[in-house]
Amino acid sequence: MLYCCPLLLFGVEIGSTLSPYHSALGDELVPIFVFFFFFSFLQADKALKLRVPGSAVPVVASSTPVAATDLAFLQYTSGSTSEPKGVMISHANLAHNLACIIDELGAGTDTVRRERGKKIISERGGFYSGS
Amino acid sequence: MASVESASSPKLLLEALAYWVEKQPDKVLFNYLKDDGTPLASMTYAAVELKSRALAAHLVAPSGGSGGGLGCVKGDRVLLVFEPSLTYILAFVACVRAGLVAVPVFPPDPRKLKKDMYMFATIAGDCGAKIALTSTTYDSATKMAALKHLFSNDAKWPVLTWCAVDTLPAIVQVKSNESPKELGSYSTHAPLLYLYLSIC
Repeated sequence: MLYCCPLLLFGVEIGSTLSPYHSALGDELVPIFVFFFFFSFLQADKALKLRVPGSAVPVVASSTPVAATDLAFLQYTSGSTSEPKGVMISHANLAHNLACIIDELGAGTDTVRRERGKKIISERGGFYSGS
Repeated sequence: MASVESASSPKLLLEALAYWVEKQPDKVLFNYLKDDGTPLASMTYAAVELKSRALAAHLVAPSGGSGGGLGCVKGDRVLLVFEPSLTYILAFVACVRAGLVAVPVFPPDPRKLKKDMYMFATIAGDCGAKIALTSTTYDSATKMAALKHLFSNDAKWPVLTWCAVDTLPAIVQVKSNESPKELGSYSTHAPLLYLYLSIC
């Protein structure tokens, strides 16, 4: 979960409430987010080609304007097989990534998520296995 | 092409946040749960908006003097060094708002600094960050660790300006341009260190 903080922000996109849960068993949650993350990388090219507006978009007054193509964050590899490398994630990548998670979960504004083990439970009745 | 964009583009993060802050400011956005499932901390949509604005303003405010900011400019890399927490999420949103490039880094474990510090220093050097945002919890844990490693040279922190951001809105504890090695009060910081170790 630690590395995947930006992915928890999908709640912001759909107006729902998220309840991150971390315990001694918390590591079991990691595969869920790793899965989504790899999924999102597969989609990254497509996202950039389809969804990037050409010019800077002022996002919110009093914030620094960012373009969808601007760099949002650097996701470093763990460095287990070589030096850590920073993967460049744009604002468009992040937004698309969050959208993928929302699609996959079928999440909406009435969704409250709690994570126990590998199950994701929502008030809408569906649950999803993370592995 | 334009119609495809307007039909299917997800909102950028801050657009989405602004939209929902307008529609449902008092709804809880994040609950951070304890082991028994009860909330440890929570933030509403409005709280995330306001606190991220305050922190973003501090990040880009010119540095220097009391009440000065961190003097970041758009595109600067900023390390996020947090234990899992809502503060971490807040710091990420603030970086996006300020146009800064967040670099989430796994916090070096104070119990095995020698091993973890190599990765931390490599990433800090590679991305060129000058600023590291952290929590008071982790900040205190690193002080304790620095105490332990005071007499050895096996774990060197890279040169960074550290900023503990969870004292908002009365930000901020800034230690300028030095490694976190001041001698803290053992009795004061021990509970925090324990807290940190217990959640990692």
